Amino acid sequence: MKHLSKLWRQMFDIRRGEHVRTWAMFSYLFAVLMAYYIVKPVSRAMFLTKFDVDKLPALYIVIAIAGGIFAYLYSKIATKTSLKTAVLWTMLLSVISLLLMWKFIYFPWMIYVLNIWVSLFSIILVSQGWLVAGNIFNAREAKRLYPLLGMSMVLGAASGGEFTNRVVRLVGTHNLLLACVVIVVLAYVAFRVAAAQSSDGLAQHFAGAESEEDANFSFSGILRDLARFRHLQVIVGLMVAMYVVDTLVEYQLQFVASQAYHGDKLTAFFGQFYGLYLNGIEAVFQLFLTAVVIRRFGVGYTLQIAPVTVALSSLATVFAPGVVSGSIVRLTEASTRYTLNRTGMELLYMPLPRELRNRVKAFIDIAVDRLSRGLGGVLLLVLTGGMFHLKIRGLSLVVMGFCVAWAIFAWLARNEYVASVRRRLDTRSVDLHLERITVTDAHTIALLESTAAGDNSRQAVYALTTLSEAPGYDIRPLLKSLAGNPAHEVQDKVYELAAALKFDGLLDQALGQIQEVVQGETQTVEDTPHAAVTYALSVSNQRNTLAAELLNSRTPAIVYGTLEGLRNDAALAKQLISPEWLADMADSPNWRYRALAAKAIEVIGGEDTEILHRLFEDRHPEPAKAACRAAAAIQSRWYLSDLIRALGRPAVRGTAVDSLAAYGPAICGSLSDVLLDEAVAPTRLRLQIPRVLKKIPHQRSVDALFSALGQKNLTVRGWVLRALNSLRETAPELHFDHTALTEHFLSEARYYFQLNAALQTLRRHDAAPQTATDLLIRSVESDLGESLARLFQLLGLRYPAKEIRATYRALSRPNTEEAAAAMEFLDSTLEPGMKRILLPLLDAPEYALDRGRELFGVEPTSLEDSLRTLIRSGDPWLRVCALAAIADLKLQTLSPEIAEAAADEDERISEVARFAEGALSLG
Amino acid sequence: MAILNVVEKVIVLEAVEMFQGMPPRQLARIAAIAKEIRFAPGEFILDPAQHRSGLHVIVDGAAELRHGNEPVSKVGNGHVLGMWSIFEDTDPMHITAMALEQTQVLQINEEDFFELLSDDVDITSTMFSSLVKRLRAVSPGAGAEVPHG
Repeated sequence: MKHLSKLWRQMFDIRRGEHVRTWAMFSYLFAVLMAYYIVKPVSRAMFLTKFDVDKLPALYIVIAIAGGIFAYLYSKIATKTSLKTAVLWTMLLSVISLLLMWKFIYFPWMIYVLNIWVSLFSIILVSQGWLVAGNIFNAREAKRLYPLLGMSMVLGAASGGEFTNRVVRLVGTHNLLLACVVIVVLAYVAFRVAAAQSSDGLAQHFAGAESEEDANFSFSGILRDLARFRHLQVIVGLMVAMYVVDTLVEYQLQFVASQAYHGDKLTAFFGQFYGLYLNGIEAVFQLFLTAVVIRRFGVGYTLQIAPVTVALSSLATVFAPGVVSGSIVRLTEASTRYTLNRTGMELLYMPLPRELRNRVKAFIDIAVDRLSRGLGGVLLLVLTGGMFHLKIRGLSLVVMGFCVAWAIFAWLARNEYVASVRRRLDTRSVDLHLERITVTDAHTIALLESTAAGDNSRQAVYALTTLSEAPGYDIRPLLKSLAGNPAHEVQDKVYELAAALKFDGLLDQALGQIQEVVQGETQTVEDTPHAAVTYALSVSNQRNTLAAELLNSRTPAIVYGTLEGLRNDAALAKQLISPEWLADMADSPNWRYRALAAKAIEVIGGEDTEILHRLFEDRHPEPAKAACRAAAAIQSRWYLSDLIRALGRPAVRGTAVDSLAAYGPAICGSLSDVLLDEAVAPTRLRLQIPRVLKKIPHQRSVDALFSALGQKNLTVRGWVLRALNSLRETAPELHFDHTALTEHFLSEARYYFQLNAALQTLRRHDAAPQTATDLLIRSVESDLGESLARLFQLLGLRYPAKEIRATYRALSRPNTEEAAAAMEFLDSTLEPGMKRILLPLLDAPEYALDRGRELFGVEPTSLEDSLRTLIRSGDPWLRVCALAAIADLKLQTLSPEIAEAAADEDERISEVARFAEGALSLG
Repeated sequence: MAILNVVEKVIVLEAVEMFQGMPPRQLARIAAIAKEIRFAPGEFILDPAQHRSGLHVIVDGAAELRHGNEPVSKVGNGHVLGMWSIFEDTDPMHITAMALEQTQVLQINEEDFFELLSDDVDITSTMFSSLVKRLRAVSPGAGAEVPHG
């Protein structure tokens, strides 16, 4: 029984809350197909009784023209109303027209009308049925449930055929139209039950249009949609190829059958062929194949099956044309089209926005179907007529040619399907490019000049930068006028540009400002335009004297500017900065001087200076930061351990990270050693290593981070993954070993299932709120979430990182269209091994225990064993919680584990273990 | 009044509004910097003479809140003193708290707390998220994205 239920679930996975709408939709489509398969033989039999088979191509063309016109009119009217109303009116008109045709069937032209009506009936009602399904189910549900709906249609068709076969002898052919009326009414009842389960989609405006203008259906609108959406173009192309093949293959069968049989034998042959063989094969396909194929191969590959198999089976008619080979081709074509292809085609619409789907689907389904069959009719007339005079063998080659086109469209459809799903994910990344404009016209230059002189200093700096790049523009007068600007930001820019131009027109002004600062003894670097000092040194004729004078000014801001000015002249710097000067500054009680000592070492390039080692440990963060910057500039390995230690100081950390990153790939090995050193290096320090590595876009960083992916500490592992994801985005050319990634993915997934199994066991014991057991349960729940996040981070290293991130975000909003699209994206993108693990976790978490057992042999265990597993896990927090939970649950059997934990090196663990020992001893 | 272990501290901290929505693992890191302090009756938990010294959660006991010399209200187990003032730079303290009986308090020192925030971006991120939610609850329009001008 359990196996049967599992088998059923594998084939048709209906979840809780889906039963009513699924079975109502099942009944609705069943009834529609049953009605169709009653009127279809009625109309064919009446036509063939009255007319010859060679009238069929003409009938196809008439049906195509009528179908095209009707599709236009139907879409135009339907888009003005809701889907609910459209279904009501379609059903009502169907009932009225069936009654009228039943009444006036003795008119010969009524047989043409009946045939046209039947072709429209099938296509409109079936199309509407799928449109309703598309509004009731989201893409994920559709993928599970559409095969079942396809099954309902196969069963409906078989029932209709069998009903006709048995009842026609009792009531006569034309009275079957009345039976059809009853079934249409039943279909409407089923629709209303299904519609009652829909939240809003069916009652909304059919086209979901926001304005009256949008709601107006028009050819131009359809053409606009077709031009805009490649996805729609591919669907149309695929349908055209498919229906042309359908028409040609149907003709082939009718031709060979009419050659072999006549009269009643011909009717019996068609009855047996369509009623028994075709429906039988369709039922088997739908029951055992469609769901499995779609789940395993996805929409794209499913759509490939029909054209490939039809082309291959057409070889039979090429080599041995006849009833058997013709039947084989028709069976292949019709059975795959009604099962795999129909379900695949309906799924193909799912990634499109609902409004678009509702607006165009009916028209495309009806018009393209009819017009393609019409095209098939025209082709038949041309190919079998005077000029080509093709027989079955020749037509088979044409069929094979169209199958190639069909297969190409199916391949394109797969790509479009995935692309549309990606678009639906709505990654919405905003790229803010600060584009520079190239200025040439006088008006823009005048505008920029006034902006540069304006109050907004940020805009002024931007205007100055832009003007400095303007071809042929002389910025010097503007610089001169702006040198006295009160905003330091603007002054800095003015002096920077003047220095770059070697423009000495601002020297007096700069020296004046410097003098002012020296006399005023301004202490802060920030308040002084030190760019003035750098500028003065760059343009002064007496550079050496000026530099020596300013260096000894003892005014921090001036000394800083001087050191900046000497940055590119190490020889002069070494000459001016004496060891005594350095020692004096480094020993100063004023942290600003100590910071300047580090800056001076940066300028002169001290390889292994004792002073700099000391400044790393300075109690004030600024000298320590300056020491970090100096080390980064010098790039000496002597300072590496100082920099790594600085990672542990929150106030210095940012600078230390940047400084280490400045060393580049040469230090990746040393950083990796620290990252992997679980025994000695403090965790808070190890956590910072991935931050450094992600700033070094080099393969060595990737390798170092990869080697740390198996870290027991989950926080460190999380940071390693974040850093890898960041590197993947900034340096996509780097190699991320897929084999290693898959191994880590499997290992993380196993951990997830183990945690999940423990969680299910813990949940069975109703934990009171605010107890240790309750906290343990919530900790495991939270860890499951983090484990899932890590699985996605691992995916981000293999698949497009942005889209994986967007997928993860979308999945955090369950039961939304975005979440369904995200699942579709994963389903279409992930390799089968990963898909098999991840998708059930997201799609059916209630079966996670089963999946854990199937995939990794993870079995749910007793409460004691679950707690034992958590105590022995490498994660300190889960260990602590599990120990406290043992005390809470008074589990004496776990006393040995508690005793062992009481001697643990981790103080938190031993503390809680001792507490648990005490609690258990109290009984 | 037993000494609290880290699990018990986390359970106490879970009730603090400021930490709501924070996963237990992050709370454990806050618990690691939370010190247990006992106050005798009449002792000030929030001392008017001193600069505010972080956040206090009453684990066991009772305290009287005062505005100047005026008693405002009595508070007991689970009450948090100085919750949001940790983010404010208001000095001197307007509200003071005095223990009415033997009172056990969890104290999170302001400096330790900020060092932890700078150390652990996940905690910072969760706290920001919690603050934004509170802000939105108070003023629904707040926090909405503003188009770039």
